[in-house]
Amino acid sequence: MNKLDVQQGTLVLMVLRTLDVLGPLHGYGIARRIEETSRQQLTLNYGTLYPALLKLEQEGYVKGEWRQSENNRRARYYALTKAGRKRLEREADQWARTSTIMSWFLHPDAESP
Amino acid sequence: MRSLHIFIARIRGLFGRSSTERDLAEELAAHLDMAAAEYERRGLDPVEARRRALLDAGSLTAAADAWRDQHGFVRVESFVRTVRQAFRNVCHAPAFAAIAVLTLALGIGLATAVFTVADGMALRRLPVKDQSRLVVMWASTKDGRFSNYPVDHADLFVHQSQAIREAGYFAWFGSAPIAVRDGGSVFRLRRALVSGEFFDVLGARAFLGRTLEPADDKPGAAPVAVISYRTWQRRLGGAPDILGRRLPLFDGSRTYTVVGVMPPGLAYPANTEFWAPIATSLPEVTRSQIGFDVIGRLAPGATVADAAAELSAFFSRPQASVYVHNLRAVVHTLPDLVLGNMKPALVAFALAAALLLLITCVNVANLLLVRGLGRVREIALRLALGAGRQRIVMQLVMENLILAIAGGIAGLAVAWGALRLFIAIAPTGTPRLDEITLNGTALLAGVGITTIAILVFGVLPAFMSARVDPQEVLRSGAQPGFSRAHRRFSELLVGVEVALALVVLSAAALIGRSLVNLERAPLGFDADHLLVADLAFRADMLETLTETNAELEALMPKLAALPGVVAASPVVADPFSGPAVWSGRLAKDGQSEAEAASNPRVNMELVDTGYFAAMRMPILQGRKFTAADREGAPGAIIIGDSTASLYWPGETPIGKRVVLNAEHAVTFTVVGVVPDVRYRALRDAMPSVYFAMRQSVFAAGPASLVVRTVGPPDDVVPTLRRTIEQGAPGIGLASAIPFTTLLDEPLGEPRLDAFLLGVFAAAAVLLCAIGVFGVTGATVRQRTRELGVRTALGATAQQLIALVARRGLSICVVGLGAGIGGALLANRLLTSLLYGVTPWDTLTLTGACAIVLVTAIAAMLFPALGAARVDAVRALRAE
Repeated sequence: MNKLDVQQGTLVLMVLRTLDVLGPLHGYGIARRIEETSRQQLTLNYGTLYPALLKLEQEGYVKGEWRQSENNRRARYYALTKAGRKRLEREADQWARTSTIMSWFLHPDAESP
Repeated sequence: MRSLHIFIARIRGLFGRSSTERDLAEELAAHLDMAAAEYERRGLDPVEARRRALLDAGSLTAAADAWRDQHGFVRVESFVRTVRQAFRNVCHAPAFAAIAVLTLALGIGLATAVFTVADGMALRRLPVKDQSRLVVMWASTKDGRFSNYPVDHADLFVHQSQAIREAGYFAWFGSAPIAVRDGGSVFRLRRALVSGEFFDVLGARAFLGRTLEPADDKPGAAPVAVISYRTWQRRLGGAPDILGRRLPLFDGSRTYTVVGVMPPGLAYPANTEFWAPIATSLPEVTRSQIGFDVIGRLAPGATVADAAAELSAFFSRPQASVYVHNLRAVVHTLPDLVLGNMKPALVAFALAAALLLLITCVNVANLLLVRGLGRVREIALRLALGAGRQRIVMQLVMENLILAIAGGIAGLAVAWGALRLFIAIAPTGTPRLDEITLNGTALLAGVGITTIAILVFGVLPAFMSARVDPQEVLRSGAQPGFSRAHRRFSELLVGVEVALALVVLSAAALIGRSLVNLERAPLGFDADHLLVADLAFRADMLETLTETNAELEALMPKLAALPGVVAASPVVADPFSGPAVWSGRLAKDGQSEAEAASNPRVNMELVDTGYFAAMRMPILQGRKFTAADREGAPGAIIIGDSTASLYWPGETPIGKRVVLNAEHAVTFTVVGVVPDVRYRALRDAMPSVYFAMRQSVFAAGPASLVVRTVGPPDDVVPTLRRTIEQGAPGIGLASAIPFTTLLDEPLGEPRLDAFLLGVFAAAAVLLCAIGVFGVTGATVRQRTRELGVRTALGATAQQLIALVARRGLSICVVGLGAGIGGALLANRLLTSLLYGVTPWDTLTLTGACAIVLVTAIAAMLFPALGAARVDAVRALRAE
């Protein structure tokens, strides 16, 4: 089965949610977690992940910090900020509604809630 | 406000150390390490683990690029990189870059240089404040018959005027030559008499010293003068100690002290060489008799019409005389008066410069287009490999900016060199060329216009490739994008170039032929070995005209007897001084005054017996003047050829009698006929009549000499001067110039026009050739595969050449057709500059067409021959 590219706009939400669940994490950890959570349906490459992290940091939703990793390597850890948590709440809610609506469109026969 | 957050973060990204590129590299490395470690944990060997990790991570470069786009400001960060890459790309196509830069250099450089010269001669600002607000005012009669009357009581008018804010006045005749002494030499300088406010009104500052001030223009003030820059350089040797120099008038009436030198370019009114205040230059009696022109600065909001209305009202004031009541105000702006007559030539040059720039733009546009189309594939490839479109556009902008800058710098060099060259080889007598410096505005305009063209056409491929599917490009080896429409457009541009080149060339050819016609026009006399001398008379020694004429007369035999001198005669009119100096109508015997008023006007001249020998004018009929034609003897005149045919068509003029006019009711008999001459105006041989000096009934007499010499005219000047000094102490030799030198003056402008337009035309044709060469070459390159196929199918070399050349030739022919139309329209503008040739002269147009065509064919030849050498196997394998 072909793997999917991460859709525009969804990555931010995934990153924020990952950090919300797991606490401060480095880029590799975030990528692995997203791939696992998606049951290997998604792949993340550098080109998408790191610019997104930088953008989130510039916008003040996450905060990056150099720390020692579990295997004693220096790595940059990202943590959710207060603004990031707020955004997560807002967007998670929005996304849930959007995906429900989308499924109504795409599967009109399915049971409506 | 998230955008503010981002902005601040980006600024910090630019300067701060928080997250540098090194950080990113470390972060990415950590990512890889962790990924590889994980694969190892799953049992892969380290090398394979690393490979898998790399594969997962994707393109490092793309990540870095995307990260950089986000980080800091792309433009600043990647500027240096873009420039470096652009340089590399430009250097990859050295032939293209060289042709483009050469084209730009020629176009910008020559357009700037030629425009600089034309502008310096005519368009340039006068060294005054806000020149368009300066007006000069005088009067004409209401019927317009006399158009140059001074303003009586100018000082009164100046005092009460509302429409003009500051005003001064100057003696109505503008400037008049007056003999001055400088050390041992005597020469004539044109003196303008101005009121003390004159320079304040102009807003002109002195180049050295000071200008004239109102205090200098008071009776009893010390006589001071300011000189023009040109006079200082040319007549007074540019001496640094010029201030305080004493300038005694030859007539001994006064001695001026030089207090200032005016800046280059200021010589108003009428080629003034020095300015002197009215009060200290004229006796009080004369001052009240003389009339003045008013020079003023328009008050804010006032117009030329307001000033004219005010002056007209002044003329009809009750106190004014009836004669003044009949006058009408004439008001011109100063630039109109000083620069007006250069306009036709200037328009031609400005148009030619614009055309040349246009040709340059078209040429470069075409080169860029052809090259750009060839690069569509490269760009599509880079897009496919993940380069951002924005980055590619930046790259193209940068590449083309490099070309534009290089072209601009080379253009500056060409302009500078060309200007030096023009000054070095420009005909002598070219006005004001020595004062010219490179025109910055023209250079900037040239560089600006071409840069815009370069950028527009240079970046075009980036957008054309937007419509190209990268896969398509990569799959087929064909040249994408170079569709029929593109080729048509490129060919259209070449056609336009050919047309424009023809327009410029035909204009230059017309001007050139006019010059040849003018130089070859028979003068009616022999200009070689002819010296023209200006005389000065000492008012204290020669009080009356009779005395002066007698002294001149007595001097003539002594001059004629000098070794190296063949003949000499006094003469009234200076060469090329025009008909206005002295002309009039003759009344035929028996004609009433009213009838005579409609007779043709003829130039008048007063000469001694040696005149026709000195000028070497043949006597066509009758005889020349002799010593017997003197007071008491019957009045004799000699007339020019066309005077004879105008007054007595079909009759023998000898023996006909004319009455001068009512004022001098003297009868003269025609005793001889001589050829018409171009002595007063080079362009027209005018009808003339010659009177014998010893029978003069006129109020003024000759003040110049013509001297026929055996050897070079300059050689006799020292002996001439000595003989005059000894033989006639009341007369001084002010200047002595060979006639051939004087010819440079009326020929100067036509020669310069022809030369400059010639340079333009050569550049235009050359650029056109470069354009044809470039496009044909590119076409051959792009059709290599097709040509190869044709060769493989048995096409001969001739057929291939014909294939390429036929297309090129038809473009040229269409271009020439359009060019002929354009030339017929444009050349009308030249009418006033032409001589002996019409703007639609067939021979000239045909010749110009032939030159353009031959050049274009020559330019096509190399690429076409290249087409014939296309190797079928290699052409096909190259794909």
